[in-house]
Amino acid sequence: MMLKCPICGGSVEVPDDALPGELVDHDCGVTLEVVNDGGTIKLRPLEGVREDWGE
Amino acid sequence: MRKLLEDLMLRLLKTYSPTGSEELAIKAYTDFLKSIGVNTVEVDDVGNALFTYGSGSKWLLLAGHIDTVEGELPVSYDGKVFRGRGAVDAKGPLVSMTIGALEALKYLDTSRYRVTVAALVGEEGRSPGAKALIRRGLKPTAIVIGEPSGCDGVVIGYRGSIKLRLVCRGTGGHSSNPEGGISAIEEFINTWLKLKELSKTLNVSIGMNYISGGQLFSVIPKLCEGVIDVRVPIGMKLSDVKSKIDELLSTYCSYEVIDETPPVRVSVNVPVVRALVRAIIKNGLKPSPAIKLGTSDMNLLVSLTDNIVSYGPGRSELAHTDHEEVSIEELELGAKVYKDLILEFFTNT
Repeated sequence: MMLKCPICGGSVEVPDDALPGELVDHDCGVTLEVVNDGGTIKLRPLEGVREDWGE
Repeated sequence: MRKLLEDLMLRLLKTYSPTGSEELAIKAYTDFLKSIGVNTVEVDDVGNALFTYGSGSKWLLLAGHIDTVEGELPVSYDGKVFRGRGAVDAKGPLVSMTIGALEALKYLDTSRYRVTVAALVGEEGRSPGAKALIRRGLKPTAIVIGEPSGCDGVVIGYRGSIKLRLVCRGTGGHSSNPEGGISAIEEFINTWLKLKELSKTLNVSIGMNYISGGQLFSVIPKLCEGVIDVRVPIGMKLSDVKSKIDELLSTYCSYEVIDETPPVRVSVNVPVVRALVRAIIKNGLKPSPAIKLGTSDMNLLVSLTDNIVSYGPGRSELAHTDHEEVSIEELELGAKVYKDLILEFFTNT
């Protein structure tokens, strides 16, 4: 399915079976999260990639 | 599943295996596999243990490591929590990965798909285990690195590192007249202070692991040397960092690179990341993408494929501490995520 990037407004291709919580990197440089908004699948900017200690 | 996790985890924890001394732990690992009927285990020329099932062209490599940092700890298990060196980094992830892969085998068409689980040696050192896989020219479709990220963590990047041996040389002379010569120790300290300033301007971290120098009595130090650990953020070239270090060295100091690893960052769009994210969601958790400040074999094995991610149960803040512990619930959940990751990867990406 084609969804709209909430940042740049561009098209984002998301697999039809995408689950809420899945992640997509868009060409505009933002990482997006698939969300279920009242039965409608949408995208929202991911809150952030955490930095973590560890090897 | 729980009994297998407990059995393998205790075998590995009870076999202390600091980097360079992994042979007995590898034997404990292969003995466990043979005890449950897995007889296709290979121990390669550097001491890695690998087992493979399936023969398909779509091939998933799960790469954990069996070595730990130095420092043996008492091993215990009270039915809930495992404690001991490597419980977090990274015998716990290796155990979950192994049992998860064996669980997935029950559901896979092995004529189409292939899975290899590798217990690598030397990850806490210079990664001879991972480098051996690269030398062999393995071409897996995708790789999952077994490192603690918490049961919900999706590690998509690691910083790089440069290990330097910094050597400063003085002129000698009588220390009753310190202005009469060049002190190697003072040159070293001056260089160190410049390096700390550089760390702020470049946004790299610079730490000192070791220092040695000078003589006990009445001699202006002729030699001072130390090992410096530079961690390089994603997007920065190692060569750029080394050029900046070159610029600040005095004529009395020089360095050699002991080891270096470039940073790595993969897209969440690669299939194995998607498979991991879906597996975490299916196990009732919210995936949490992360960048690690350390390094791992992911920094090296990305040269085989950029379809790569790192994951494993365990709280990474406990890694390398004297309080390494992980619960059986974490191992069990981790194994389920690995199992579902494998199934997702082969059937849905």
